[in-house]
Amino acid sequence: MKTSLPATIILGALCLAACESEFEPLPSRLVLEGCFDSMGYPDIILTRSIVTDGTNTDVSELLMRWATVRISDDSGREVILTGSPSKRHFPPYHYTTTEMRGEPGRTYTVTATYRDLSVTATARMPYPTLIDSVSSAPVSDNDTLRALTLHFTAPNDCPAYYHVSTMLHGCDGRFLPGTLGVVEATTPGAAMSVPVMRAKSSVDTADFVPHMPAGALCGIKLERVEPEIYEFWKVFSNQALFGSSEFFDTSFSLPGNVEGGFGIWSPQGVDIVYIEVE
Amino acid sequence: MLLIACFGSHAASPDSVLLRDVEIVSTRKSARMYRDGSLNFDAASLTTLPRTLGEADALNFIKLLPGVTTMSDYSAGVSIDGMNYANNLYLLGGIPVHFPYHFGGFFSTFNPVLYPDIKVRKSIRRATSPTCLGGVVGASQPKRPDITTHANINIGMVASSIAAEVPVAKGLTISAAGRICYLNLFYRGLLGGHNTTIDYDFYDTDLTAHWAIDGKNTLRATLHHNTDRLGYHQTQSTLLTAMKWHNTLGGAEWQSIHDSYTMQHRLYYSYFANRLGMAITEIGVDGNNSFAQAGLEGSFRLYPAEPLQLDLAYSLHRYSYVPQRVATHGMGEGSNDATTRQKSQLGEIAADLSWLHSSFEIKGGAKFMAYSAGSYHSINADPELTATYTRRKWSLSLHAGASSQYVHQVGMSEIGMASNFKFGAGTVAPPERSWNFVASGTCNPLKKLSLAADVYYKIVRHQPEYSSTIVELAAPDYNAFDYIKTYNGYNIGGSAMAAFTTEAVQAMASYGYCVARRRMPQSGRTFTPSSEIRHSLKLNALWKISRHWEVNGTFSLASGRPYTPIMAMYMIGERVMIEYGEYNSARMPVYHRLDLGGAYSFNTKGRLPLRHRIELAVLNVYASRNVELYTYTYDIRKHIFRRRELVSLYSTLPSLSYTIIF
Repeated sequence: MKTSLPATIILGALCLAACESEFEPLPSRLVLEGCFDSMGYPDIILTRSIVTDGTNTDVSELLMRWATVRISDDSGREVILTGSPSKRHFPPYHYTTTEMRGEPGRTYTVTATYRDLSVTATARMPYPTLIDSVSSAPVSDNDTLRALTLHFTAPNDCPAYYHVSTMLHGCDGRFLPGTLGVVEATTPGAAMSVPVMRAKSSVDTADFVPHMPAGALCGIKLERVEPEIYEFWKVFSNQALFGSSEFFDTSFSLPGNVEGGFGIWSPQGVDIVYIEVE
Repeated sequence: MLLIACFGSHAASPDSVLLRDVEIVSTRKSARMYRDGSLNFDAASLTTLPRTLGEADALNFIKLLPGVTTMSDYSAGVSIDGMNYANNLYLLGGIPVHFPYHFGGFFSTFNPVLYPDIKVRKSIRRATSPTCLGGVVGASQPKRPDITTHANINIGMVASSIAAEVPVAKGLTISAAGRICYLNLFYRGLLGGHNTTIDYDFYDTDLTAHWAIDGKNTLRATLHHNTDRLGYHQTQSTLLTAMKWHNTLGGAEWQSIHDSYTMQHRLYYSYFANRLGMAITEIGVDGNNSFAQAGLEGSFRLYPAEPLQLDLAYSLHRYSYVPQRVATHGMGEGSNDATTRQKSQLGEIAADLSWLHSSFEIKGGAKFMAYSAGSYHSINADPELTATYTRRKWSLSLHAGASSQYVHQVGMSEIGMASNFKFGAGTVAPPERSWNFVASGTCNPLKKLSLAADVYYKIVRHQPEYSSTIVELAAPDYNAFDYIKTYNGYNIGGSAMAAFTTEAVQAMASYGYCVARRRMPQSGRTFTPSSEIRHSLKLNALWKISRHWEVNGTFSLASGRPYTPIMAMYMIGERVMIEYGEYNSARMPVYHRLDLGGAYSFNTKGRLPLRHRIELAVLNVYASRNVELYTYTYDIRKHIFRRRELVSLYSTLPSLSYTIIF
């Protein structure tokens, strides 16, 4: 009896401690990552979210190959996008069309449907801001890398919100969201600058190198976006850089503009430069 | 901060006089329980606990107490009765220490040899007690210093220290201590991970003087400084997180004891600063915070007539702080000026009257506070009343009272890192306040067995929380106060403790239960604060096998801490993104851990008789994988998404230490 008392205490406490409520993960939803450049064509990656029940999920299960994706503008025009495999994208499938070009000032609505899942998002395409220059500076303790900074002038219709995407030729298949590539312009005519850093990809086996290698060909895209899209990329940067930190609370969900699912629909006024990193 | 002077537990200090009638479990044991749920113990002779990385530490011992919990293995702080880490007040020789922990809460800045008297007060406090909502943890020097020179040298695998006490003249004793850490030498590999490296070191120094001027008057001086440096490098993301923090504090205290009254006065200064830097090569964000506090405080104890006892206290505090000054580099922006140095001041007077009649004791009092911070002003009163009924073997106390706290602390770290910043109450976050209702009882059914239990209900007002992303710090117009909101709520719970003591065995078991809720101001939704550990059980024992050998062990079992669950995962921009559920709406798995230790002691004679102690400790003996964090990652080789559990920084962690005492 004496020896069983401690065991009883521990067992009882274990039962009490274990009696905690569990949460129900969300069922799978559509995830839309869509950009629509001014004077360009829409490019949409449609996937589904993973149910976080602790089981492993193969990447092929994310692909939405047979969805119907439509884009309409505020003039009532509507086009249906075509899905096709793409090695430039990850997961390797995207929807696009050449029947509609982005016009700044217009509002675009995207709708995607797959079986009983459906998402929709609407956003206005702002007018682009031109890139003034891209400067390059050596990185300390490294002879082969360069730190790039993009310079532009804040437009008259401030506040204006920007996001920077980059594409390193030979490494990136498409423009990817640059690390810390968000900036807000509040003063008309102000000289603005924003660091140009490579995207931190989850599918890259190499250690993350934010700077560009000297001599490489690099595409830089300055995207002027609506405020809610800017907020999305800001929180995206936080999760991409600091997510799963042991030290700091990073449990902030992305404030996407996609109804019925997750993700971001970003009609954007863009200016693109391609440079050879000096 | 009132009556900090009383807290030192010196022989003739006012509190010590008051406590003459309290239950003392054993005169030989190192820990004493009091009727009000507070506990006193001798850190220098604390051998019941396996050492943490070779260091004996008082603040690790308080984690064994009922109602005292931590959220993580490397939490820098404790929750007392479900309150936040920021609600506790830590005192070194009566002087506030704003961050008394070294990295990860492994051990504290309190030197156990120089400051062996540790006292922990929970929810029952008098009006003349210091001002805070949680617990008060005080470390102080012995009542009277030794009249002979003695020293303690400890050599461990993480740090080594030396402490010495030298009587330099009649009545005047100087004590000094120093400790230096070399964690990188042996433990760097254990603390780092697959893609992470940790660099860490610290040192702390103490200097005290005790001058017994005559039989009635005593002067004390206290100086302390510690500095910690931490570098955490995530190689895969090239993200370097660096922190450097330090405490510098000093003060002088005058104590005067007379037949009809005693009094104590203290003048002090305490400064804490932390520099946080996060950088990806050339690009980074620095967030600096500091908090300085200066004060004058004092207390009087009078005996106007039998059986009355009157305590009076006064205090003046001046706070000067920089909540969070952010500077960026490599991002095209300079430092922002939105956050500047701010100042506030607090004045307090308090009175407590005690009436003792036979088995009954009634204590009542009130504290009056006047506070200002710029254009913000506040006048407040905290009343309290405690009734105690005592029989030979048991006692029961009922307490009702209010507490206020004028210094807030918030930040991005839930485990209480030094980057969490302090600031004075103001328009954004008014003074925190709680109403406390406590019933506490003690019982000694056997000579060797002591029991204690309490139940409490706390109504909490204006508790601040901070919610900014790290990226937000880089915004040119960032202002920390834009991200602070205050919440109301309650804590309800109780705890029980049993202590068994013989010459050969000391054993202690404690259980705590707590439910805490906070309400969001706009949505009205309630949530569980991170500090709520619903159930916690702790067992600790020491067995002195012989004059030379002893073994000890500690087992901890607790509910998992609340966390914000991952509701879904998806890919955007080739990155795994996470959709979180409601704040703190899930719990981590049950936490459990066993620590074991053993020591061999022996004496050597000669010109200088020495006592030697060799101690081996193993933390987390069975390598319990206590989960700290869930995340989702993409496994590139297998092309699958999988859940990843980040477990405690250490698995099984052995340590060896060698102590010489003379």
